[in-house]
Amino acid sequence: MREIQTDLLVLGGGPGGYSAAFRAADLGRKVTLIGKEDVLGGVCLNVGCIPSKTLLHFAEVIEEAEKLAPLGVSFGKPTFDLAKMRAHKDSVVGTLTSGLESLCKARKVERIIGVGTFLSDTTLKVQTEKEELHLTFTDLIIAVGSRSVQIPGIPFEDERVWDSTKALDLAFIPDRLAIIGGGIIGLEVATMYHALGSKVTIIEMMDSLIPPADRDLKQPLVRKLKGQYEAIYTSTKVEKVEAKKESLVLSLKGEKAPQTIEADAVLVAVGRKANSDRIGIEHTSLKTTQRGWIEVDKKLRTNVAHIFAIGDVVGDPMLAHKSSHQGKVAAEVASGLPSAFSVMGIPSVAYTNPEVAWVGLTEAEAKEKNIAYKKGSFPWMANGRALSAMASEGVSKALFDVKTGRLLGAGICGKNAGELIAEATLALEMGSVAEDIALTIHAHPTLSETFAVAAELAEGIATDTLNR
Amino acid sequence: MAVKQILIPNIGDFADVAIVEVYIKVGDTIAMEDSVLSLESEKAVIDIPSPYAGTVSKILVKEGDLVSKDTPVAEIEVSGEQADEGKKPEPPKKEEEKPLEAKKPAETKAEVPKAEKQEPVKEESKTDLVNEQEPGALYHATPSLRKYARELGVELSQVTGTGPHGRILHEDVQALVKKALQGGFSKTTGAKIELEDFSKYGSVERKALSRIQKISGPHLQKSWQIIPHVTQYDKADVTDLESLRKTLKEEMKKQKDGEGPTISILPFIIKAVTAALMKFPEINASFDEDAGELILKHYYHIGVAVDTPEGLVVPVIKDADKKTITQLAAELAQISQRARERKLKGEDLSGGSFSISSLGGIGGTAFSPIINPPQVAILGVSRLSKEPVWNGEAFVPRDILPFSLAYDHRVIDGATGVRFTTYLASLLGDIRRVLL
Repeated sequence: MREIQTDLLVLGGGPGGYSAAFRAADLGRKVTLIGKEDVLGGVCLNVGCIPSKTLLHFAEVIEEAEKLAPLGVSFGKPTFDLAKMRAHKDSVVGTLTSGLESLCKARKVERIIGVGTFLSDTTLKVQTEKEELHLTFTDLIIAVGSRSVQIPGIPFEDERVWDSTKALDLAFIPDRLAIIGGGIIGLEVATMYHALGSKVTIIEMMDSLIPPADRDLKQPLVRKLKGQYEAIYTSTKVEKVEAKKESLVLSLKGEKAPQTIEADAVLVAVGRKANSDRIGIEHTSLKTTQRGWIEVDKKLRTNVAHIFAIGDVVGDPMLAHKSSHQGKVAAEVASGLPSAFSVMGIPSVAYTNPEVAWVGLTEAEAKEKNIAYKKGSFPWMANGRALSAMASEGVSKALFDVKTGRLLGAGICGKNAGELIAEATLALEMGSVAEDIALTIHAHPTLSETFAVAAELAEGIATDTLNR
Repeated sequence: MAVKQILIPNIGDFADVAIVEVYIKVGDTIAMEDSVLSLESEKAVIDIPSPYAGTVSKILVKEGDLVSKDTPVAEIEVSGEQADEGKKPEPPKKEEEKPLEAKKPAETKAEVPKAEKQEPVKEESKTDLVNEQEPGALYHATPSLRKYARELGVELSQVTGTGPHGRILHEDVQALVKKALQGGFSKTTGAKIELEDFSKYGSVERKALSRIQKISGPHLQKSWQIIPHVTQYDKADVTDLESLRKTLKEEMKKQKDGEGPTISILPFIIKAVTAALMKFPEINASFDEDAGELILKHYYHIGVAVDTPEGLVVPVIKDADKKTITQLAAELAQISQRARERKLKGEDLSGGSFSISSLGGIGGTAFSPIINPPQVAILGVSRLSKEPVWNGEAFVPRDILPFSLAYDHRVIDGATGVRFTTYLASLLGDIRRVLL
């Protein structure tokens, strides 16, 4: 056992952890970054966002190509070399992780590879391959992330039962894929495997897919998926999954669902659980919520002096861009700067086809909070760029406060919605009113015009459609 | 060696007071109780002593900074044994009070080596300000403005946004800060006296104002500009009081082989003034202009101007009505001593309901003192002298004490002013009346 005194310690090498480490290093702190994996980037970069987007790109091109066949452009039936596809995915991940590695070195951030657990409020034990270290610190930032929730009655040991990580391994293409959980992760995996030829069935406990998104926003997606997939069972629970030799048998309970369905693979994507239970938290006086989220204030400070926590481990939304932003704030607060997590919105994006993205208040939330709003909603059917790109399934909507006129929230469903939502996010943070957006020239023909027209509709000054 | 932070101790009920002067610099070796810096309190300068002995390794504040209780001001390297003996500014607060507020770790932080290129200085974030921007709020601040306001410690809800649709502009935040600064006592407002080149008339030299002058100047100017002063002059025949005082003085001297305490006329004046204030409650008061009301005080805390090498300070004798003449004498001696040694605390200087400025020890026949707001009157005491007084048959030598009452004419009319001085003169003429 070796004792080391450190200045700023970051526990966790995901997007939150490395952002915190890099920012702190740039502020002159001596940073030690502890990660259990030998590569940086965490779930997002290694087994989450980035690999899934790499595979979703395949799916998008496959689907785009198929759409051209009836229009006279045919490529024939696609064939898949899974090994090559995996290799490409791994190389994208590799490029990014090695980039992080060099950024880490250039900033003189010390890396320790090992599992960190608290011995007390002031000491962290790290088990590396070689030895056990006891670290003390001036400040510590917890960024240990989350993991997939496992539900009882499911044989996770069977290789046909996947969590999101296993789904991205691309081990085989199941004929029939059952997906438990109709949230963003479930739908992205569905999109991927549907393009590769799987027959997809989705089972969601709540009464709609992507529960937090407004119904009118996700409607273009839901309508399309209903046509593409074998079945979508909402308000349905999976009671158990039985692993038989030929197939997996799912027992369902729901009004419109059959009692059992068969599948060749099952993805369980019912949510994520904070990893706060894996860091020896019982040896500290850190406070957590009932769901195991570490309690922090707007400056990301925990109840223990000089311990901060960021990202998934402090709760929803469990998104990489929230973590990295919080990581920077925590590093700044720890270094004496007057920073705070004071954003108005954290954009959510489902990389489905079409994509669904939203930021700020949803319409349901505005109603719940009794905030009077005016709404502009523009269907993409009337947008030239959308039609040319065969992407007319979509809608852009924006909500404005009746009192102040400023943007409250926005949602976009359609091709590249994840990119388009950036304008709405900026408008939200800048306090834009509908006129600010409407009077900003948007290039023609672009998909971005749809957001401008939504703002014009809210203001009653649209020309591309009729003002109601 | 361990590094300890010097924090601003609890020196009375205040926040955000300005640092007048920082006495220490990096590398200085200081002893426990040595003055580290001085703060501007309401009307005087308070020195903050060091709770530790050691070498100053870092200064975290500068002149003009606003500080409150527990603001770290400097880091000092102390030897190991001393590290934990240093006086705590006050007992630690209960943990439950603010569960999510970062607390300073007592032990871990001390030994940690500092990073080499440390910029910015590692210190506690000065403020807990977040400046969240709620959707639907009446004002709007962009992300960079939220940050700017946090840096200046400005709460966005306090700012009036002058931009379109309630948007807060940089200028709005700046305007609020400017206003706040001008509202304080630290800046002189109004026109300045034009200077000319005096050297053409003869040789001159420049002399800096003392710290106390720098602070009291704007305070006095504000009082003079805002309050319409009227000064009522009177004289008290204190012949009998003087003979009583001399008798007492002899008795006290004898108590300790000629080394006993002495007694001046001031404790008697305090006692008489307290009795007069009880009869004229509107003089022991403050004026709430906004409400158009007088705030009558049911306590009698008498500020007494004390001359120190640095200038005049006004420590306050609390509950003068409940103290005997000898107690008042003892407290006066002790508080004057502390004032001269610059050891007064904020609480020694705050809470006065009436003030006395006694210049009689030096001389003078009459003067007009300036009211010490938010009080509404002040008593000036001049030099006691023998005067011939006609007793109906002949001129007899009597001990005559000239005094004056400056009062706020917005709230005290002339008749009340002269009734007060007349009554005070009668009390001083026959101190037994204080008992009535």
